[in-house]
Amino acid sequence: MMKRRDFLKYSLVLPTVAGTGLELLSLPTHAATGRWDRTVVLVELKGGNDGLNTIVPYTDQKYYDIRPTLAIPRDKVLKQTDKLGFNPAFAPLMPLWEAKQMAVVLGVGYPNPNLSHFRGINIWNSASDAETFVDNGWITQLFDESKPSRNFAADGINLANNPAGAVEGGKSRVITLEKKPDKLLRQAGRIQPGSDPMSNNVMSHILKQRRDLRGAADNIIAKQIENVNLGGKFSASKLGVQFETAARLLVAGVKVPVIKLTIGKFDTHAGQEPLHANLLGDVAANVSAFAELMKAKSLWDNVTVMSYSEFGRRPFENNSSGTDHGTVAPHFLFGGKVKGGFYGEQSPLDDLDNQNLKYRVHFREIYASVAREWWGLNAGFFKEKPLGLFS
Amino acid sequence: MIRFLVVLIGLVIAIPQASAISFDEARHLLARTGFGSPRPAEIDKILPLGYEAAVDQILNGVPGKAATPIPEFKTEPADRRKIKNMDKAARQDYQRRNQADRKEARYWWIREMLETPSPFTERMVLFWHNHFVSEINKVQFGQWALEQNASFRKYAIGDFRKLLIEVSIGPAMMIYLDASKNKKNKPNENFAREIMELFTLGEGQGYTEEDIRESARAYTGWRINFDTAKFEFNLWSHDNTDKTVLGKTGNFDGIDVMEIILEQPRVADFLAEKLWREFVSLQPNPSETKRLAKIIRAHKYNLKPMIKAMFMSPVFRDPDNRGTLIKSPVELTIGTLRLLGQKPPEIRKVWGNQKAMGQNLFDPPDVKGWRGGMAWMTSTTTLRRSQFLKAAFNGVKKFNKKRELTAMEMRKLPFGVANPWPLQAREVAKPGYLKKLMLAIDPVMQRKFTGKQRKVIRNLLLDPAYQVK
Repeated sequence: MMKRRDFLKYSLVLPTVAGTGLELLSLPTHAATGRWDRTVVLVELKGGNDGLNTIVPYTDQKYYDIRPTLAIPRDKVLKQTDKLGFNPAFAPLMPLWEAKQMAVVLGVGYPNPNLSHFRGINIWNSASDAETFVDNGWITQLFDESKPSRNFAADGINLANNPAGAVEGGKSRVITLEKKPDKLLRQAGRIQPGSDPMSNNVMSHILKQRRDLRGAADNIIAKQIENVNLGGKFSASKLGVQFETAARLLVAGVKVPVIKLTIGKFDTHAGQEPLHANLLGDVAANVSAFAELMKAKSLWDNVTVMSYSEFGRRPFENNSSGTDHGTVAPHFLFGGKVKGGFYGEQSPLDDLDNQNLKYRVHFREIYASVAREWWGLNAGFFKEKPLGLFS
Repeated sequence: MIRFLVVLIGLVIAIPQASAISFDEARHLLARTGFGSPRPAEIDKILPLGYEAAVDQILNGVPGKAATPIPEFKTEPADRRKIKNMDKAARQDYQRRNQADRKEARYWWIREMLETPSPFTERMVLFWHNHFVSEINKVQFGQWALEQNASFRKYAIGDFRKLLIEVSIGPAMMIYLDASKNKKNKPNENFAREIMELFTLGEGQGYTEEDIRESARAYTGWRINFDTAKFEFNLWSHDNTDKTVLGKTGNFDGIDVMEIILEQPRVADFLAEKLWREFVSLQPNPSETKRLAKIIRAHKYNLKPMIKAMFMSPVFRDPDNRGTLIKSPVELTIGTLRLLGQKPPEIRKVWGNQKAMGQNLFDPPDVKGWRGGMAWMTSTTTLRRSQFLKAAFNGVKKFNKKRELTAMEMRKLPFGVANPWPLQAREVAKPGYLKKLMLAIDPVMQRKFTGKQRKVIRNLLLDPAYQVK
């Protein structure tokens, strides 16, 4: 319902603005100062999430026809509109949804979608078009407009053994604290960085890692995250451990614009269920635990959790009770300042391109929202209009 | 005129020098074709040779088979239904043994790398492992993973066409890319996509989504016979109609499609670019890789002449090209243990260190394998690498050969002990030798790098310059 209204509002207002030439004025060329004290927790659903079994078009017979073994039974769907409902594994998220702190952007994709895992995630990380190659992550590109304070621990903290592509490249300072962050920090505090007289760029890279590591370690050690004890609300899964570490860092007062988490195994070519439901359940339980904790510590207005994935999956299930690589999927944002509800539009099953869904929202519309509405930047290189995801 | 004569004389003198190998050049060649840290004896062996003869010796020393015997496995592969029908205790026991087999396969390969007389063979096996990626936990059976590993060794620098086909119809790849699940009417595109994107043409290079869809139909009907552990073609689930792939139309089967792909000149370019990045430089060099690709095509996918030309390339030999590649975790661990002469009592510890640095053998992150290059070095792996080097160095000490180490001592020395004297003796004979041996470029830190003290070895191992080859 809300989706419709928002959609109408934008489609009516924006042409008018553009018509008066105000649009040009509203995109000043000077740089804004980014609100980098606000953190985005990126959650990569690695492998390509199956959107149709995440947000389920439970009244569409075609969905049941093309997914004989994989469709979520109508009576199990957590129904939200007369057409759409959530996978039952999302039950732990319902309090956030009802509190309007969970945004669901439907039909997210881009033109000429690439169905390769690597190229797909590159496009999402760098915010490039399908045909162009951009080296730096989209958040790293935002740093060109406004740099996060050098007093911050880092530009990005990566908590998984998977690249933090969105915040990599350029001079971005990213550190990885995988698995045992406390132990790593103690050891990092003893690293001798070494000066950098190198003409050899591989050595420069090596020495930069040492400097970033030592700098971040000194900063985080000073915040004493080892003394932050949050209790056992997070699950014991890899993602649960990452969310818990993210929470400890933020509660200890570590300042960082991006914390990157990863949950793998979404590449469900065969035997998709119950694996996919378990993955969604893992995400739901830990986002919910994280949100609860952030609220209790009065940090929820300062954090946005955001999902992304290299692509969606094919609407038709394959012969192995799995789904092949596809195009479009819904994505999610959670946070105290997130305006909850549906955005965009579910891609219809009767209008396919080569058996794949057509996108309704360009993923850069989400990025533009985060850059402008959350971090307060101009982000002029995003030509897409923000979605109005934040209050 | 006089100047011209001087130049001419200079040239005459320069020619024999250009073909004779120097210590630094021998070290560079061995570091790049091996595990990054050649042993003194390996360098001694090629020093009397000319450069080309040294390259030949390395390439001719690739035997196509392993030096150590394949492990005994505890399970026989069984299909899913058979496993499902076992009673609970039998199933758990089966899976436990299966898991032990997978570990054994890993440990076997690590031991082979530590002991092989041909490090270049294992580097090529590793290259193919990261080209024809599979993950052992999906493949399930250690023997199938090692069967694929043996194909990599057999064709290490041989016929790529045969390698491609043998690996594609091997049970490890069939399971990993769901080829055995690809059936008429409901094709599974996983294998069809990866063969073009990862094995032959490269992502987005000269094929379309339509080519993938069409070729997936050609691969239908492939399956594994679990009793023979061999490829089988099931005509009933094969799509016996015309397909159009890369501009050709016909009632193709999977092998036909592979032959069509191999007719594309792009395949040789893709291989040359990948080998270049692995062995020469992270900087693409189109004129060199195009030249090398031509050699691959001229020899109909027999790779050895191209690989020789790659190591003969002036770009490879350029002194500025030394120390420009980061040692992978496998190179860092295996190279260091070989250099120091350590015989790890528990291979598990070596494996655990490689994994912590981001290279878990038989378990690459995804179908594209380890990204390598700069990506080996992150803040996390920086730490893990220095932890490994410190632990390895702790085992470099004189010890009383008459007594065994205690369990307590062994715990502190996960990679065993090695006498530092063989290295120190070289340094005594020729001060500065260790620095030239252990580092590809000048050290970064201000430390003591010459002298026979034990700490000189430590300083060299822990200098950031030790991370490059």
